[in-house]
Amino acid sequence: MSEVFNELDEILVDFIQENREMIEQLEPTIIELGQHCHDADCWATLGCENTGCPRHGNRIDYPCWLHKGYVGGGDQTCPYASSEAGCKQCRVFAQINGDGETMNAIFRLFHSMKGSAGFLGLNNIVASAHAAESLLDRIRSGKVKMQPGHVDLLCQTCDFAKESLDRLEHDGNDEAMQEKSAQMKQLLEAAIAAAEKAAESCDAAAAEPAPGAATPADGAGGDGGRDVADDPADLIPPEMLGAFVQESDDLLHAIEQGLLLWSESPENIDLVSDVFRNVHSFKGNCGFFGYKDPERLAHNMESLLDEVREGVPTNIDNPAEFLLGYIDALKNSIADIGRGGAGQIADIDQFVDAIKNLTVPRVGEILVRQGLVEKEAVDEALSKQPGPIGERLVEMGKVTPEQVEAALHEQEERKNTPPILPPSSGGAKPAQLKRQDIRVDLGKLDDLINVIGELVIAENMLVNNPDLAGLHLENFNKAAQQMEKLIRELQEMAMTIRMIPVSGLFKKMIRLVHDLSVKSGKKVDLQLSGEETEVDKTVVETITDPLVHLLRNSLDHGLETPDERVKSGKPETGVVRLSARHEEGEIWITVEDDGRGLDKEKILEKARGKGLVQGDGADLSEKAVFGLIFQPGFSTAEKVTDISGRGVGMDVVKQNLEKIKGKIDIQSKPGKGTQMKLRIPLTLAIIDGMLIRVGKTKCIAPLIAIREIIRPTAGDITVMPDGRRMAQIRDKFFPIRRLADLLQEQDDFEQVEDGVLVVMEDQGVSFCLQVDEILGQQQTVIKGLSDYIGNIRGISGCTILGNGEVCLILDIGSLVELEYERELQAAGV
Amino acid sequence: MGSALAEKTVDEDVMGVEEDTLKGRFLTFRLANEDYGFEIRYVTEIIGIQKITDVPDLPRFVKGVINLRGKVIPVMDVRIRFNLPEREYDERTCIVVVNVEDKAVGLVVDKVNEVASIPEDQIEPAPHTGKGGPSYIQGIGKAGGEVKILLDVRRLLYEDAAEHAQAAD
Repeated sequence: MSEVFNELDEILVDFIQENREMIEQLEPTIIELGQHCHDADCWATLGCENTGCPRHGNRIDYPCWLHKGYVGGGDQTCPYASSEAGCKQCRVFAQINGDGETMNAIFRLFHSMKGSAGFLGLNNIVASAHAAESLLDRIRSGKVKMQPGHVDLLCQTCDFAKESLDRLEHDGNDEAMQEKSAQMKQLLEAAIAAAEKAAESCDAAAAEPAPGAATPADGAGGDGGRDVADDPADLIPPEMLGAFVQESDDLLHAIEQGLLLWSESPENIDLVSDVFRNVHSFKGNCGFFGYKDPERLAHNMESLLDEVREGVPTNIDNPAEFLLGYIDALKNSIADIGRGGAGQIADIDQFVDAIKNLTVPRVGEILVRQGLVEKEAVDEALSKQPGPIGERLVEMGKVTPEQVEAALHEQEERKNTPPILPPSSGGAKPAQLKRQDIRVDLGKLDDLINVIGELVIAENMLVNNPDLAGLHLENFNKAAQQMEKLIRELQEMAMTIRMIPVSGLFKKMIRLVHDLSVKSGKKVDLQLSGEETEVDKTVVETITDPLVHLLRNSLDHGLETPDERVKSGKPETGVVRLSARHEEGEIWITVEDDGRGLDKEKILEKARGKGLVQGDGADLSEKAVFGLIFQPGFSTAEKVTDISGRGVGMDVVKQNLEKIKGKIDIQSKPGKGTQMKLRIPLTLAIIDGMLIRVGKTKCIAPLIAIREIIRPTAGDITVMPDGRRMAQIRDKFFPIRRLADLLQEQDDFEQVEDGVLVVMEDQGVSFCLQVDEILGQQQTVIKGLSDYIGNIRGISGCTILGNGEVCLILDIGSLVELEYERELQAAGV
Repeated sequence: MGSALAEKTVDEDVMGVEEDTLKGRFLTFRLANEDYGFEIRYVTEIIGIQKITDVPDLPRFVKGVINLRGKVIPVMDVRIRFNLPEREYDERTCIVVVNVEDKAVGLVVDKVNEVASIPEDQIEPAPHTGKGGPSYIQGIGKAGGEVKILLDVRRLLYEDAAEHAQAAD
């Protein structure tokens, strides 16, 4: 059937995208499920005092609800439940087989994947999704007990689905996946069979023969066909529901527009395809969330549209007009869902019949439906010479002329049946939906932000205009301040538009960590925090790879094996923390583990071997040593594992971070763990800056890094034997760096005490910057230096001053780093 | 934005011709004792010399950055690029702004001459000067009995620049 849809590539693309999103969303849920579910003893969990129960005090693998409860063949003696539903809501059930909400969400994923794949004729995906669905259904309904292996199997199914989607995108079908699909299906079916067998063998497991438990898995529950719980709204998080309602509303609008166009030119079949696609997406969404009524109506509309597209005649002139009537019914249903209802459509059966009766079936179809002929015979008849199908079939001896007559009569009747029109929407209130968001092209946003940047510069040029110098303008200054405030607010608002929370990124890591922990045999507890932290969209894209590498490192090199951990007195399960937060005008994303920590000696040894340091490197600071691991090809791993050890990772981390002017800090204590902190500047394109001058050059230093500004006396300055100078400020010594050296500029004064020292601090490291003059404080719009120039060490960008001059902005963090590199150089690199 | 718009400006303001006739047209300029030319389609505008802000750690021929109506663009001194002796900027010194791959770069030249049409049959390929010869020479054009050295802007900006930058490191 897939060839029918060759022209409908868009549907395929939609399908692929929808399913990828679903998988991405649900993978973490599946893993979470695996982490949360564990064996539980019913008597211990519930504090049961019935010592007469055979389960009491015993660890019985056989699930209690099948044994003493109300599911399957349980003997219904458990005092904590009084019905099958009660059993499924029981805490013990949730601990062992997962709570209903999670299970339903996962079940829906596979179910809806199966549905839409079936529609597209992707049989291999259908087969696997169906098998996964069967397994889930049995777990959900308590017919079998969930095993840890089941979670892995479901993850594998997700992988299979992902691969299939890739194939689908590439080849347009899923045929290449046939073999894998069969394997997948086999694995899942084997798991089901094993689990069912386990569920049957109660007698063996139970301490005493339970009379009622002889046939536990006979399917008495009979809920295999049920899709979701009765009221889907209970299971859906409100934000997802909101998104669903809004998207459905959008789709309905699009459908309406499409139908209107079509009704104007009913002969234009291309328009039908548009409507068809939208109805299909709408149906898919409803199906995914379990809203059956709108799904069913949409499904029938879709079938009708499909038939119309293929040229099946209808018994009204303008089906578009007719369908428009039903859009209102769908709108009302969606509005009801938006208000928290179940989206039921009152006369759904009538509507569906009406839609079904709209097309005039072919004689052959009627005969097939009546069971008089085989479909193949009809096809065969059709493939012969033209002529009425009835006559051909009679000639072939398949049917009698009377039967054909009856069929023709039925067809005639259908033609004359007036279509049932949906109720006019006059009485129903129109769908009232609050719009929460609109979609905007990213380019437009960037333009907006650029213009606002220009505005800030223009404002600076105006307020600091040289023509105003020396004038006393009280009112002007007031107005200028007001304007400055407003512009700043405007700018901040515009920047937040580009921000998205990191939660999506973090969720992807759950799967990664799960897989790595399985592969390496280490137990890991991944703790996420600060998922709601918002960062610029490009930042999320850029740090995905670095995060993957850092997590791999943590798991492979950082964490010890369970045995080693127990030996060193740590809990068996290692902890990896992934967190995000705003700090010091930056975003900090931290990957932290409680593993063995970086081995300074090992790093040095390796560095000496590679000739990265000369001498023994013993005088290098910890920070300088840890910095070595970012050298390309540097790896202390003794052997290259599947996961890491080739020494490429950290190099990638560093390069990607440099792209967004980010930095990485490493802290590590042997035996205690390692913390890697990614520090990414907020892309807020305006900073508070201090304008400083050295020689003829002006520079901006970010105010956030400035601790104090002093005018030193000769006594405060100490010159070291190697020429480096130190300034003493209140009992502390700070190294002095000349801005003039950095900028390759001639400064006014040779003597330190004639200039001004700006004390800068970044990440706890302080130094003094020697400048000639402080010119004042001002708001600074950061502009990139041209791509042609690229990144310059020590310079984070530039800005345009009030007089139109370009002025460089100092990057304090990299000045500190330069300091470290000097240290490395001093050590003989 | 970008080159399409920029080219249009050149069309209307400087040349008043259709875009497809940009081919074979060169902006010619003077540098030391020779005339040079760029393909006109790369040129977005010509401005007078203005204050250039120094940026550290750059190859010597990149003089720094300027403010071009709110956009910060780098400026290359073509004299230094060609290892010609440096010379004080005067009122005839111009910055030719070119746009290559959506990046604007200013090129400092002694003096801009004119826009010349040089038909293809009047352009000789660059003479082979053995290896090490500059690759940024597109050809030698003849216009009105004069010889113009035609430069490949893209290569002028990127190709040897990388080597220079490395050498400067």
